[in-house]
Amino acid sequence: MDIKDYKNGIGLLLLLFLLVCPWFSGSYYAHLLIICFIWAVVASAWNLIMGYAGIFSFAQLAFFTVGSYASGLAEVWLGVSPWFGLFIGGLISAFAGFVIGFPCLRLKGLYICLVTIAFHQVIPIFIKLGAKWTGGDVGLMGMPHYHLFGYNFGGSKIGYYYLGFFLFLLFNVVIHKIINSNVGLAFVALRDSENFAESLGVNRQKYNMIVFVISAFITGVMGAFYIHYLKVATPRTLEIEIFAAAIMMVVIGGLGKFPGAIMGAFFVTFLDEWLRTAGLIRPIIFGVIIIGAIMLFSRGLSGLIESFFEWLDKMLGKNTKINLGDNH
Amino acid sequence: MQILTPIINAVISGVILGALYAVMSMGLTLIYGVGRMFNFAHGAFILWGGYFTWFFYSKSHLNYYVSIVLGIIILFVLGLIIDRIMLYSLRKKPDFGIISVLVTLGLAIILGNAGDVIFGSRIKTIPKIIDGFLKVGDFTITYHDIATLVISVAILLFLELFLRKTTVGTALRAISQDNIGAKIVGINLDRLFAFTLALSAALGGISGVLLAPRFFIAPFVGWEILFKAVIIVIFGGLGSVKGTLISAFILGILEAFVSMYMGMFWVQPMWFILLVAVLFLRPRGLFGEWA
Repeated sequence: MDIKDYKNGIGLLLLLFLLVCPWFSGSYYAHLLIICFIWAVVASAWNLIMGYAGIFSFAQLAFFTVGSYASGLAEVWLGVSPWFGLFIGGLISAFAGFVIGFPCLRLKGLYICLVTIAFHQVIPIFIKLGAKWTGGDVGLMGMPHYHLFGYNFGGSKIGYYYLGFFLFLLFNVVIHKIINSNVGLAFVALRDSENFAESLGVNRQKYNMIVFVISAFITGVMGAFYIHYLKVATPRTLEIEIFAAAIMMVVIGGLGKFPGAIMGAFFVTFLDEWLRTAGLIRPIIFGVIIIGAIMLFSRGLSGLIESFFEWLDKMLGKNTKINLGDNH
Repeated sequence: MQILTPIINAVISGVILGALYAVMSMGLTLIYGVGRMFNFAHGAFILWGGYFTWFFYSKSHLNYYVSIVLGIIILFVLGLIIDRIMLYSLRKKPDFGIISVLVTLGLAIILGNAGDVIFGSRIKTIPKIIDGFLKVGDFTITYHDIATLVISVAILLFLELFLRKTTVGTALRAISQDNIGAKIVGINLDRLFAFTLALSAALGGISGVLLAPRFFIAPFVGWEILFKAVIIVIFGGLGSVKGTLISAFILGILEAFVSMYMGMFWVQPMWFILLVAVLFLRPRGLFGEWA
């Protein structure tokens, strides 16, 4: 048996575990796992644009919030069905991605980062300006629960758990497919030899825009799901502490490593929960972890695991070069 | 004349804001010029200018002006220390641009919240530099604003002289124009980077003292100030001293008018719209020299 098979086997076992988890874990852990699913997708979509496409965007949580408010507002004020609300969240967020991407993606490096963080910073002001509809700082409430064939999702965590699990699988498969598609290949080419790739007709602008909008769409859908699960949308998702947690997921997971961001999301969500009692110290611990992860483990969690498998490989006396997921 | 009064008032407060914003953002511009690094911890430096002054003045009962100077000196040293233990080794990495943002983001979170942990989260304020106000005809202006303007302009002039006339200043300009060329002629980038980070921390500290009476001294204020500075420096063009100066005054005056006619809430959105418009026409900001 090859090392690669071991890894796929472990991954499959973990997925099976997650599939049956809510039946014995109790609602507290089911809740934590739902939160994990949401952040795993957000972090993975962020990793797609930051780690693979090399677009240094800080607008991820802005898209998350835009998606959540878009679906929330459409349902509360227009009476749209919550299933369609998910789609609206993604669509409006993708549109915001297009509008922001249009001036932003022409820029280079740090400029993109700084303009997107400025965008991030403007969103809560608009939420406050529209307090009549959005509920301002208190938040937007009154989103309906999901119903499917007469089953009400509001009854227990199980419904939301499987919906979250479905979205988690679906979007991570989509992201995985993108990374391994021609688009992903274009980014590898652009990274390895920008001039050569462009002379062969790889259009950076076009590919950047495609992944930027797709990532915004995915993030927006998760934003919509998030507020339906929590039953309230607030500008708090834009606060620096959540931003730090989200960036930590990508950094700890390892920039530009596919399953890394997912691992990072699970790790950070549980860490965040355990540190809930730490109070004022909590953000400081986050800061230390971000700096420590960059200075000491620049390859992230997935890098560590990769090293472990390399070691295992050597122990087993095989020389097959292994590759965790699709890191480049 | 009666119609002009509010306009003149807005221009005056806009110019004062502009001078203040220029000092506040100049540290970011200098360190970007020298090291191509965007320092997310700059807001925290500004915040700590306020914390140190508050601590020495209100807690240790030192003289007010001594407290300010002490705070600035500590920030200068802190800048040197941060360079030594964090940035020195990272600077050799090829993707320092991204790494520096992430690392300084972590640092900003640590420094920003450390104040609350050490001193408690009660709201802290420091007194104005000079109390009272001046009244000329229809116009009133506080002495603190006048002092802010005078100090800011003095600092900017001093910086300009420093960059033009001294060897270190010339080296600083050389590096921001041509990194490799400057190294070839023997400029020690490592020492200059450390010095510039320390200088920008000190500049942040001064602007923190000037800003503190306008805000409280609390963690979220550091971020608010940082995000303002972010818009100012990209609007003017990253790394351009001239660009930062001009954009600080443009955005300061815009802020004064917007908050007079539309309300405080609209300042950030209007800044953002203007920023996007400028970047659409000039992707490197008003005076940015490289994209």
